[in-house]
Amino acid sequence: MTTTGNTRQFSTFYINDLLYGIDVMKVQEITKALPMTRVPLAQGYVKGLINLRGQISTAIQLSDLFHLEHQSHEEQMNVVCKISDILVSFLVDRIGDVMELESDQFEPAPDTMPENVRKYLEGVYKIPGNLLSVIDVEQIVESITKVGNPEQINNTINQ
Amino acid sequence: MNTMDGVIDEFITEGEEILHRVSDLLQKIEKSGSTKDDISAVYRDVHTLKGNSQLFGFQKIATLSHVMEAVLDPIRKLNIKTTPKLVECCFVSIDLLLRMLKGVKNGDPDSNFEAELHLRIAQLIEASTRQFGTAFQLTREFNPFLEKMGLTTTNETLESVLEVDAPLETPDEEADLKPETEIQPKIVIIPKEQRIANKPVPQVTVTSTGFSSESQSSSGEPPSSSGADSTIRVPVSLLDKLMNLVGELVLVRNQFLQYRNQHEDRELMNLSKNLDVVTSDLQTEVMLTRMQPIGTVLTKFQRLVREIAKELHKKVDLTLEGADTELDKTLLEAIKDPITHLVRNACDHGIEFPEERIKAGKPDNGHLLIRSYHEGGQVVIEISDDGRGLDSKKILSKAIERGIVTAETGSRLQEREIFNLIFLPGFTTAKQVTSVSGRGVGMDVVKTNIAKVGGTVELSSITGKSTTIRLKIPLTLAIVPAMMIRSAGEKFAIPQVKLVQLVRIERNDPNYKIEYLQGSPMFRLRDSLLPLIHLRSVTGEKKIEDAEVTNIVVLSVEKEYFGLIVDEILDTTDIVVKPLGLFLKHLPMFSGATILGDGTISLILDVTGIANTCKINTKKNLTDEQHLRAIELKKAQTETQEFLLFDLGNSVTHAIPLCLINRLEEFNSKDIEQTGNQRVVRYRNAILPILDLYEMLGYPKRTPSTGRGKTPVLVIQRSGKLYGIEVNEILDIVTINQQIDDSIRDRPGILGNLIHRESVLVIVDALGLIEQIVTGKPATRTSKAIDEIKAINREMKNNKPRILFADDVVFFRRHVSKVLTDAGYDVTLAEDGKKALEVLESSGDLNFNLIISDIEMPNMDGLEFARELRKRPKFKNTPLIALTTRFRDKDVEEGKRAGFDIYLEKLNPEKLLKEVSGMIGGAP
Repeated sequence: MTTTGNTRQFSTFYINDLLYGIDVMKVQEITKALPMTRVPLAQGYVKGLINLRGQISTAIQLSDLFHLEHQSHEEQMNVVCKISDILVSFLVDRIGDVMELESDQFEPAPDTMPENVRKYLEGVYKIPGNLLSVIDVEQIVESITKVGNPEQINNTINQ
Repeated sequence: MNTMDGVIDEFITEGEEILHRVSDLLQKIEKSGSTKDDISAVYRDVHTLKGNSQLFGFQKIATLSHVMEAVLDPIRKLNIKTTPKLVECCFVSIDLLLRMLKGVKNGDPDSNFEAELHLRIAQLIEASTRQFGTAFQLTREFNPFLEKMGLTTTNETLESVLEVDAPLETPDEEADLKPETEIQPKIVIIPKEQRIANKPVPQVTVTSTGFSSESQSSSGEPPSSSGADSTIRVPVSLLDKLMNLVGELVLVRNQFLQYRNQHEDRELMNLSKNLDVVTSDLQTEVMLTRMQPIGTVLTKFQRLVREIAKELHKKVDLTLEGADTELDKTLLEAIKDPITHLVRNACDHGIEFPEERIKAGKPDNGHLLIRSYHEGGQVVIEISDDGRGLDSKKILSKAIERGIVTAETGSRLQEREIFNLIFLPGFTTAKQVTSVSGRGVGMDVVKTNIAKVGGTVELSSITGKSTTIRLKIPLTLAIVPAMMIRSAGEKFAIPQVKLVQLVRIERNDPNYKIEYLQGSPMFRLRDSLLPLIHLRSVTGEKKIEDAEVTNIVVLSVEKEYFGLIVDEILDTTDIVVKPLGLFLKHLPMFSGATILGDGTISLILDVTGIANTCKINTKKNLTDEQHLRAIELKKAQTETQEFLLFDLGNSVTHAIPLCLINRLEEFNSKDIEQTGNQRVVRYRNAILPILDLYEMLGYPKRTPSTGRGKTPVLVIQRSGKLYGIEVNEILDIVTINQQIDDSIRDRPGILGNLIHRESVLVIVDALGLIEQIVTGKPATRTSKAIDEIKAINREMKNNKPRILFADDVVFFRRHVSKVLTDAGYDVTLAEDGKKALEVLESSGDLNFNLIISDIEMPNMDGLEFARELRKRPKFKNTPLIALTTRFRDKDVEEGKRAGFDIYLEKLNPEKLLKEVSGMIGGAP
């Protein structure tokens, strides 16, 4: 493979056999499934809290965030990212290789994708035989920390 | 002296820091030429060092830094380049300064420095003069300064100056620093004595005259190596990181221990034991690194107080107690400003001017005390002054003026409530926390800041005498004692501070059950309704089971109570609070999460958040005035009498006012012995008579209960002696807001009845019964005596004698006023001595024929009240009765000295009436 110098490395993984990637620099570690503490009333994609050697990490179910039907029932792996001192674990089905990809393989996410999924993606790498969706971790953290509607919680309680 | 040592250590550490920084800067200047910024930085640092060393009396260091400062000043001001010569001189001077600092540190003021000091000064001045050619100006500037030290300068051209450093023993590096011999202005520093002698001086070697002052500063301290070297500065973030790592280590250790338990390997066992111990020790030590003695903050107030006092022309002494009490560093930072504010307030508004103080009969020196100590897992910091105290009238009028309360509400407020008004936002008009313009300025800010770190502020004040502000601060922010509970299969932690009590209700218990008000669950907790919340519903759980047993955790939010129904109550534990991720910020019912010993994560419940979500605490929607009224209402409700209910073995429930009961005990039946006819038990090194209430009340004979293992006994104190009342079973403590109905008193020893939960309680006259034992006569009690006096008084109805009665206990106020009113007296009540005085002073033409007062009361006790009373001519001869339980000879004597005419026991209405009628007519 000839490199034009403009390459990025991605840590890849599968959700429902779809290939996703996160920039390796943003990934702190990958761990096997860990015990989780459920957080009542949290958003649906917040699966719980994980004890990562004394640090608390929030587990995000990516398939829920992307509105995918969750098919796999096996134990999920954690892709742990640290974004501005917040630890987030993305729950994924299977871990793939680390891939080094060139910028000319990249394309922004097509407009035909649903907006609520597209906003979490940086874009797509066309790799032989597959497409790799690059997850915009910062965007995920930013947009879901803004969620939070106390009214909604009150309604839940009052029901 | 210890704190002084610490301060000097700090001075040395800081001095060294400064010098190293300056040295770095000089290196930079030397390499790439001087910039204005660098020179300014050096100048500032040297200036700081000068100030510090002057403050601590290290004159030599101060002198040299002053010269350096002066030499750098024109360069800084004119924004010109330094000459290499000058930089060089600065370097060697810095080196000398460092060595002098070291000398201070070792407690070894080395006089050898003096010679070198003079040399360096000369060099600096020369280097500067060479650059500017303004020797005169410069030296003149130094003149007063140097003269003060017994030195003077000349700028005569002296040959000898040229060899200035040759004969001196000096460090190697300045060998090449020999001033070059060509150019003119020369400065010589000569000791005064020599100048008078007017002899040409061969060299600048100077004797130590005039420098002796320095050696004092460090003499007397034992030379110790444990100076500034033994401490290093470490960023707090590093300590935090260490703390986290230790936390992880602990968890790994726990897992390791679990693993070990599954294996039987001796070696593994021993190793893990060691690991366990070392890890625990490490954890403790790392925790300690964050702790600092509160003195590091408090000692700074010595100066502050001195300055403020001087500024205000007042005399204030500050005493610090418990300066070694340790507190988490973050907390220490957080309380610094509030305390500064309180200290300022105390000096400015609490403590009076000396003349005023003398007039008030106080020493002219005001006294400020800052005391800190541990109490119940918290650090308490008390700031008290002996100044004029708070003026409730002024505060109230200001509060009314500001619209915080209406005049009407205000008039009904207690003094303490008025004092607390100053904590309300809006009481202050000042915008800045530090501005000083009235007692109470910024107090809301103080309160908010302390509350931010989980602390509380309390205030008490005696007008004209003192003000005490008490801050209660948690030891550390990070570790919180918590109660673990389970709900819907998850564990949750509830911070212990919010917890009031735990209640367990069994489903079929007829006495205690959950009731519903418009569908909302309620529970009667000591006769007030406690709103209940299912934690399951708070956490969005749909299914709420009707369990066999209901566990209620009673919680308090800003003095409002509510009960949280949980599935299971586990245990208490110390938890380390970790903030929740931003994802969960919107969940008000959780304040954070914690990692438990087994490595699992548990959410921490935010009690205030839960209350707000469930609208328990509606305070937010109330105005402050409404809030005050609500508090008042609550107070009115709580101003009721508590009774202890017990069973004597028949169907009647008996009660005794709780305030009469000293203790509740349980004795083994076999420990109860017999002396004559009296049953006794050995209790606290004395003999406690056990009274059989059943028999004394003359109930029909019953078969003596034998074989019971334990006997509950109510211990009652009377005239300094203890008596025990044997009961069958202690039932409950209830609060009742009724007057005792004395219409049915079918037997002696009974005061009357009360209705509680649709059953009648018999109120036992415990003190009367005890008197019966003591005197041997059956207590005929009051009815007859009261009737007789009633009859007599009816005749003189139109001229009722007026009696003032002061007692802080509601029960006694009610009881005595009833006895006296029934006997035909006009009774006025007061809650304490102070109130009583106010009543008397505002009584105008109305005269009180008699005053009765309790001895032990808040605000102003009976003795002080008596003394105050007797000072006033109008009341000089008013009969004064002490109604008390304190009867030791000493007490009585003191009381008589204070102005009491006679001492009477509480709850002996017969005797009281007899004495009263004896003193003010209406003979028995």
